[in-house]
Amino acid sequence: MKLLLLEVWGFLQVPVVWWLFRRYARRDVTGELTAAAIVGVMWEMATEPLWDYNFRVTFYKDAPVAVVTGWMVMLTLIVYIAEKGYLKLLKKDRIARGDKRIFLFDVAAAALVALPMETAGAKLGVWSYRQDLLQWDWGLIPFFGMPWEIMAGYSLLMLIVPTFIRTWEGEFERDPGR
Amino acid sequence: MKLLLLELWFFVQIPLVWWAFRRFARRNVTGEMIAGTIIGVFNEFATQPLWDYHFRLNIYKDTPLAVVLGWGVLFTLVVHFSGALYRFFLKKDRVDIRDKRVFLFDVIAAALIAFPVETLSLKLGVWDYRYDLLAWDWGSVPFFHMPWEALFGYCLLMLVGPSFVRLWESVFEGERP
Repeated sequence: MKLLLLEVWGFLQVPVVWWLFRRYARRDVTGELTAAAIVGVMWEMATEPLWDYNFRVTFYKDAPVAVVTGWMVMLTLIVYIAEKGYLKLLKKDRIARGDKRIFLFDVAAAALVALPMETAGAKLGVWSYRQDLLQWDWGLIPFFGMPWEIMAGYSLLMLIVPTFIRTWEGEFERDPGR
Repeated sequence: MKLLLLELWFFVQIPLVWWAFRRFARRNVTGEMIAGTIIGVFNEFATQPLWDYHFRLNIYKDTPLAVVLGWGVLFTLVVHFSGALYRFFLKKDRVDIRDKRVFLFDVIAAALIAFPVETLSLKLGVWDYRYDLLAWDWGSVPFFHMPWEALFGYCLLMLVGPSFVRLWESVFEGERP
């Protein structure tokens, strides 16, 4: 029952987060969500054997649709929080193109958003790691009790993916008829 | 011996491709190679258990340094080939990095450049797929006799990776974007 409710939440979180951004940040995140969905599909298909999922509605072997929706929400939040941190701490009014310091803020946002979401997903039983294959041995992150390799993986991912989202979010929101 | 020579070639190809672009295309591809290598580090780290590698100089479990650096060469080739196709067919003088049609050319470049390289490396024994884990069952790509999933995976990767390469290559070369 718990997993069923979590899966339903997995689907609901996309319109909820979209509405929250619209309502409280006056921001259309359709483009971010769309770009993040592409990343989510790519990631889940590429790494499918490395995790065991426990949701019902799947799109490729046992990779669930509701996990892709999780990527959509997570990456949208990360890009937003990294941008806010960058603008606030560097006292800028927009992200300067080619400013490598954005990588630092993307990785920091991943630690603030992705790591807790990843931890929650694993601890709630949405997925489990195939430790017999992964053989992670760098130890555990204090408090979270999660393998350090996860944070390393997210940090590497955050070097690449936010660029994709920032590049395309505007285009994905543009009315092709205009 | 064959694998040793191949591992050497994987290293030698980096300055060779860099020089070939400099000499024949008058392009500095240092930035493309750095950006492609960053993607390679991520990709290999994330998927390490799914392939068995047979090179000697490894950086993470059995993941070879030469393969990670090879991603830099591969992305350089894919991005430039895709760009050439884009300019030729759309009659443009440069790639608009926010033109969605670039996705089409990136995927075509993945099929025409990345997939043959993948096939060659696999057949030469640089790596093996862990079919027991991957459980790929979409059948084989004609002529290549490679799993459709491998081609599909490249197409997905080439939706995401080239944007990163195009946006950061000049920055990694120390230029103002």
